[in-house]
Amino acid sequence: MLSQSVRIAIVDDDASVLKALSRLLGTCSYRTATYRSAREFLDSLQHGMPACLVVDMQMPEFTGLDLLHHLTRHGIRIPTIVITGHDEAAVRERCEAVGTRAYLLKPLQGEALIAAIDAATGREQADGAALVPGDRD
Amino acid sequence: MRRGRSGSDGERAVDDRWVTRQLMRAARARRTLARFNSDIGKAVAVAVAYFIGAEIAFFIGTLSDKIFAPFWPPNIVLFCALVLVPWQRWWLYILATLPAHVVAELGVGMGWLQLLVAFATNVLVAVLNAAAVQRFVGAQPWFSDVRKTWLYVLITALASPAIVALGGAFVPILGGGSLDDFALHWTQWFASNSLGSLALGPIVLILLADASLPSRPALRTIEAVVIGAALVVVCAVAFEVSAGTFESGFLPALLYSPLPLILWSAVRFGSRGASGAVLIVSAVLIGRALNGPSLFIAGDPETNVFALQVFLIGLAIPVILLGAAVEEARRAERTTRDSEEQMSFAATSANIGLWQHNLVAGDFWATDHCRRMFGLPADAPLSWETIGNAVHPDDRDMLKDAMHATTRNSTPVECEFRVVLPGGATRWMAARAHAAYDEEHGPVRLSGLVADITARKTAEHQIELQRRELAHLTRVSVVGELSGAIAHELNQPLTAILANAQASRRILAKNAPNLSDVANALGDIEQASSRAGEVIARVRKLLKKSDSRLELVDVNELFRSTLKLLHSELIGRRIRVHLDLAEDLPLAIGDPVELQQVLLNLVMNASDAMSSTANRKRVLTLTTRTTKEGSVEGVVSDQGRGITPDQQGRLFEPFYTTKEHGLGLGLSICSTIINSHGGDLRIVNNETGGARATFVLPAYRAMAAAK
Repeated sequence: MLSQSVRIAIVDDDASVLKALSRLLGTCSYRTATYRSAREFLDSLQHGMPACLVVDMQMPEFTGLDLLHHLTRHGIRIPTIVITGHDEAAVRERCEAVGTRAYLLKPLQGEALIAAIDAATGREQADGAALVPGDRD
Repeated sequence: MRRGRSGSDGERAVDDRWVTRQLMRAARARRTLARFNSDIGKAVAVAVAYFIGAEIAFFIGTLSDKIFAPFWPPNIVLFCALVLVPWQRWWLYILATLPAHVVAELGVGMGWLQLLVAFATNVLVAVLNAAAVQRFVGAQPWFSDVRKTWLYVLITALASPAIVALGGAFVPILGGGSLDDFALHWTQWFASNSLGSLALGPIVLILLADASLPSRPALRTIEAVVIGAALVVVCAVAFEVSAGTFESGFLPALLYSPLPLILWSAVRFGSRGASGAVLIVSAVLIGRALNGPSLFIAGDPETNVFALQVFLIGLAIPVILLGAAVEEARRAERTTRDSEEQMSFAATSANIGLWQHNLVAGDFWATDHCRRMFGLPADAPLSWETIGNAVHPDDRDMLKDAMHATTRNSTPVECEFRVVLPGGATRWMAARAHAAYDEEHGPVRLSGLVADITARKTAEHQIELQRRELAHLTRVSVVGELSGAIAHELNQPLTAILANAQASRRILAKNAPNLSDVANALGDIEQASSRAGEVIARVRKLLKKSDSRLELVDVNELFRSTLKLLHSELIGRRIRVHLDLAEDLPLAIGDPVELQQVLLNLVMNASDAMSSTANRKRVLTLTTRTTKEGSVEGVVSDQGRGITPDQQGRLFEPFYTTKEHGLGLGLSICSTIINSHGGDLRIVNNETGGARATFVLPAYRAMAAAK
């Protein structure tokens, strides 16, 4: 399956959030890699680029925004979805400035996240309909 | 015009001064004249008294040559006059008595030379007595003090008559006596003057110094008159009965017969009674001895009279001293009573009760005010039991322990306790007590004072309530400040819960759902839910009003939970935390909510202080350790701006703030909270930059050891 090869990177300092999001995306046949910090994620880039990045804003030391800037500065372009507890206009603008695909507020709706990832990975036309629960099979 | 007027004003002023001076001079002259007039009046009175004294002496009786009185009041009259006026005016009195002397002595047919020598010796003994008494005995009263009375006796009854008798002995010799009888005349002259000083001097001086009657006149006067009359009768009867009974052997017993009355008089009426009794006995015995059969019939009349004089002198000295001793004891008693009254009055005015418990005799004493403070009737018997019953049941053991402790250790003890009054009202009392020790018996007396401190306690309680109220309000405001961070803390578990729930639904919607995946997801939901619950519990705890219950507090745990509460806030501020908690930190005693508030405030302050610090330097160091004294110490150290010297002194002032939006209550409240826990909070700059807040709390272990 095409989806098997799609790798989603999730960066959040909260283990329980990582695990839950990973489980959710797993139900949509996404392969996920979870990182507790931005640095951990950057280190992983040498082994290959994920198809999509889901990143939390509030993290100690290296925040989500720091990570986005870092990627932009190094010319690394990964479709990115920001998840955050704070809806701050300034942060949202800066995220959009660096090309963020979606800006989702915690606690987030699974459908919205999946739709955003589908859009980011270009999977929506292929088998988007099949992914909607209940419509499958 | 102006000058003219001022000139005339000046003249008038000079006139005024002159007039004033003249008036003052006139007044001075008038005063001198008045004093002189009054002195003359007194001198005349003294002269009259001198004459009457001489006539009385002649009436009582003189010895065989009819000129030599065994009891000679005039000398005492002159002495008493001189001793009471300044020596500068003595001449006036001496001059005034000369005519009286001349008239009296001529009346009994004395020759001029003899008369003048007699006057000279009379004056000499009076002057010597008066000068010595003024110089050595000191101020009046002379007969209510044993030491002064002794001096009076030594001077007037022994030393000065002994000296002047050397001259006085010539008086009878000049009247035709033989020089061979000088020793006899010396003895007669000495005894006569000595007896006068003892029998008449004291009572005259006492009455001249204070002629007022006792304050309860009726009964006392009757008693005095009865004693006096009884003395006269007893002495007279003793004489009547005993005259010529020398051989019967009853003489000593008869001589003692006035003694009970004399002692009664001395004990009841002090120096007045003693000297009055001595005068009566002397007058009656001498009068009887010279006019009838004598008690003393051993030899010639001179010897018999001399024996009587010796008897009277021997009786008078101890009796006068007894009177002085009685006065002294009375005065001491009165002083004690007065000082007790004053102390009691002062104590009552200060709303203080005084009490004393004699541990040997077991009796209990307390001021009336003290009894009222315990709600005890003025006549109720006092004991530890009645007092204990008035004390609030919860405080009885503590009070008992305190009293035992001070009895045992002899160190003063202080304690506060409640008293329940009969009406049911509760009053707060502060007591201070100490035990008096006796080397022989150990603790002999327990005494102390009780002060009503209800007003202070109420005020303290009000202040404590207000402090709590303010602490609560600032906690609420801190929670408000942290609302964003708290929302984030809740968002994390909610995000996990929602994602897990939606994942579970998706799994269950599949054809062959993997139920163990669902079970795992549900397990995670549970965990996240309880985590969200903890966040809410922490916030709720901060928001609730503290009920001031003291608990054992793990300060390390307090640090950890504070960090959890501030987790998101610190991340948002890009602050890293370095946590260094002592492993075997003793527990503290306190209100965990208020202590958490302190920590929260200190950490927030430290974070605010680092708002302009470079990101990589934003490190917050939280440390706990046990101090050398065994107390619990917590330190919150930042890398911020630090504090300036002018801020240093004002940090804990209410409404002092360096922040733009601060109320300035945070540190002030932290300080009052720590102080109310018996601890100490201080803030100083770090050597490496930034500030360091250190609080010390008494450890439970240390408190237990101290008790």
